[in-house]
Amino acid sequence: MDNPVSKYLSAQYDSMVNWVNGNIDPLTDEELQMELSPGKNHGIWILGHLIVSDDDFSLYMGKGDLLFPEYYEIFGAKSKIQPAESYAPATLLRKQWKEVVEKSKKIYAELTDEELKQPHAKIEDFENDFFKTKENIAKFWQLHQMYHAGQLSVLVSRAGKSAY
Amino acid sequence: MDNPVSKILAKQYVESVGWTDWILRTLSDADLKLEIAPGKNHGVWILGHLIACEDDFTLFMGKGELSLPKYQELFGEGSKLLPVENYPPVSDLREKWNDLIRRNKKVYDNLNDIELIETQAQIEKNDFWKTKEDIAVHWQHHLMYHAGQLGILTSKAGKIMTPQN
Repeated sequence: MDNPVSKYLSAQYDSMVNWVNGNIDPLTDEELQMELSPGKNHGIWILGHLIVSDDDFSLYMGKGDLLFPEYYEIFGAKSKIQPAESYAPATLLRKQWKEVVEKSKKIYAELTDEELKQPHAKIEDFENDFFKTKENIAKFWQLHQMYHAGQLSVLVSRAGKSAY
Repeated sequence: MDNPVSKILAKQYVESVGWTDWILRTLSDADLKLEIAPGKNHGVWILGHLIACEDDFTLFMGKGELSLPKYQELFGEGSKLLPVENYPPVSDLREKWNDLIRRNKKVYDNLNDIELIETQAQIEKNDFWKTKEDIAVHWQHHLMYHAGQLGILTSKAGKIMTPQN
């Protein structure tokens, strides 16, 4: 069994991470504190949100616990934005982002196509669940990260470090 | 041959377009004229840019010519940002976006996995991407990347994203 879909998703994950890193790495710690617009999300929150979103991938895939459960509330989708200095320092967040990516890469490396068709591990009501399968979790989690990479790119641009 | 990779790409295309459409439906024509940051791209340029990219997908996949060649100049990567009134009206852009999505859904529906590992059709002009699979992945990621920027406009316009939008 050569698991073509799993291999595809794994390669696509790597491509997504490269793109996200291409928008984190050019930003200094200070630039990450910039807001997208006044009173809106800053780069620190977005980076923390990327960490949380890759961290809970393992919960939905049934592949282990969160590395940073303390972030679940402060950087979750509905969390209230606080001033950038109230969060963990950017250096720590950068390191933790790499750690959750390593965890997810291992999950992708061991995935099988049979597994992808299974209900995801946090499902309660299959019929009414938006995601239903592990395959959908993988796809939507990756698309979600790209969505926020596009937002970080606005900071890269505001910092004068990109063409547009 | 059941083409499992083509099928997941086709599904993912529908999902990424669905996500982007949801944001576009939430934004009024006036909201799309907002800039994502002062002096930076406005929603009209981003929508036009998404159209230009959906359009040249067909060239890279070897599935036909551009529908809107002028949009490559107006909205291609590196094109100079002009005030919104220099671009086609938002209603036209929305219509052209929908037309190209319909066209590309057909491209995805007819894909097969052998084709995906073929060399992409514009390799002589641009060899950054090697295969047709690389093109599909990159074009979809690019779409979500700009969808995230349009998401900033929903927030600036004070629009709440609800499933009914």
